[in-house]
Amino acid sequence: MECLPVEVIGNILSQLGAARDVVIASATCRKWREAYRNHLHTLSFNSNDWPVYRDVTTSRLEIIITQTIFQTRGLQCLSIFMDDVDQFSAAPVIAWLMYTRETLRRLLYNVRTTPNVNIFEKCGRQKLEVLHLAHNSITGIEPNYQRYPCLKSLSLSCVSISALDLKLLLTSCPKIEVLSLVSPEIAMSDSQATMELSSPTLKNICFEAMSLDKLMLEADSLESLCLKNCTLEFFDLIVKGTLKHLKMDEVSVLHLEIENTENLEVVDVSSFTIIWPKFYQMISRSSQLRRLRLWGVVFDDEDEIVDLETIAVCFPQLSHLSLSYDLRDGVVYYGLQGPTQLENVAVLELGWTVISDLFSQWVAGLLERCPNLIKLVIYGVVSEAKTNEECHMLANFTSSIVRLMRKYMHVEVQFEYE
Amino acid sequence: MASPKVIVLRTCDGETFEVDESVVYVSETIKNMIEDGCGDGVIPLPNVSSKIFPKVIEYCKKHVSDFESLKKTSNGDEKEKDKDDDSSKKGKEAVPDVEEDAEEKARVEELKEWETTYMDIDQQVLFDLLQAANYLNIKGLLLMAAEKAASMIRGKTPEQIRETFNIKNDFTPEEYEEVRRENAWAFE
Repeated sequence: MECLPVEVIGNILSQLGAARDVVIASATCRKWREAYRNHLHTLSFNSNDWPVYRDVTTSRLEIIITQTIFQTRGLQCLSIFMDDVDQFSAAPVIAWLMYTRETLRRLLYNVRTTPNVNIFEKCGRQKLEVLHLAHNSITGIEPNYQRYPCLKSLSLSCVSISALDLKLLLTSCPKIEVLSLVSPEIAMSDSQATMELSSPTLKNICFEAMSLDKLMLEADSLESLCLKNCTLEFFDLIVKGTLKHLKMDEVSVLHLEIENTENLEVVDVSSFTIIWPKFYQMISRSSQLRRLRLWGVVFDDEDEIVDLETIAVCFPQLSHLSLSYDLRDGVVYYGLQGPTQLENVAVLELGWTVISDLFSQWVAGLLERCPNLIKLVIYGVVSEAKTNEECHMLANFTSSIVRLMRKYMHVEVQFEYE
Repeated sequence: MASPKVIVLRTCDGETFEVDESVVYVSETIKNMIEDGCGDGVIPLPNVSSKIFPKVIEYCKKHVSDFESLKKTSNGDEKEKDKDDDSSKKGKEAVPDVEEDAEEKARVEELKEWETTYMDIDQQVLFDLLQAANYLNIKGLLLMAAEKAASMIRGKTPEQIRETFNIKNDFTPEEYEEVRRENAWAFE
């Protein structure tokens, strides 16, 4: 150990990350203390690291964090993630940010500050690459003199920000690639207005628990979009054919417009009310589609059906198909019509929420259409209180699947019940 | 590059090794030396022993494909997984959910397994590896070795850490008092 240079010890201490561990390790010998003081680049205060944090008063915690940070030099990565702390006072928080301003590249911070500190403004701009902020607010963005030339990844959770500031924020980050908004509190000057966001560099976007009337998103380089638990009336997405992954889970949107979907590879939609013809039209040109998942979707028009023939013809590269929706006679009969095989489908996932005979028929029909299937996964919802009839149905279903799978001995079958 | 060039390197104890250029390029230090024109002769590695060098080359061979495409950049950041991404380990930030290919998942799994086997080494090898990775400037290897060393430190008292790594306590009693006082909270 004697021959290891002090920078390497600094690297090791940085891997430790958790402040208490680092401080304890610094008490082993002079070199390690030197490493802690001058060569530590990552430091973290996380309530999960040490249960005693919970027993310490907030003001004592502020002092501990201040003292520890101030003993270091050249910190690049600072993480203060304390779920049990209600709020920190503004003064120490500002001190931490000012002290690390010149060198900080990554900041993770989730504690409310009082009075409110504009963290975004206070932290060093020149080197910041990753910012994960929670329970704070962002105001007064001025892209003309406030730019974040290195910021690549921004995650805002339970953060309040105005629609205008969010738009300006993206303008002030010329290299931003990843944006994540969770439960944002977005203030709009006019409730009827459209929130317009635009970034030529964004590749990955995730919106969760967001409610807006109108959203227009322009992202020329977008590759992946994920919406979870969002309510939008109008959503207009303008991309330039780079979009590969589209995921929507528990999303309610009345008008959805996405252009240039030719290169979509993964479409994952769950708990969503679909106007199938329109949705289908949106994705029908994605001849590169590899994975399609329609799970727990409800069709706006009861007569709509997802017909396999169209899927087989439009998505010849499809390798993963996951379907779970209400089956009615028409769905099973008409949906399975057509000669085209799903040649490349290797994994099939089928789910029921209410067990019925139709489901077994549907499974049989789908197996016939997938000549190169390797794996079949059946997802079922089993209610706690089972009536005699339900038990009977489940038994029948089990028997029919056993009989069915005898014809497809090479296919691996898995069951997942919840 | 027309045909795969072979580079000759000499460790501090005089042994020579012949390795494909693409493999040694994983080391920023060697890469810079080659680019400065030393690639034709024998490259001396005064801080690397013949004992540890094969282990280092094993790592480089495994990670060559990641570096082929990054040869042009001067930074050579690891592409596969963002190992120094705190957010993947701590806190509950919402990171965009990207569907992983089955092949990608399998590749990541395989790499993890390979790494576990690779890092199943004794302390002396670990220290030699840390030193070599630092001198040869192989970021991914240094990170992996540092994480392994950190896992051996976590949860131990200073005395236990000294024992584990055979470190001499060179603090004077006054210095040690000061160290403990400065950060009394951690020693409670």
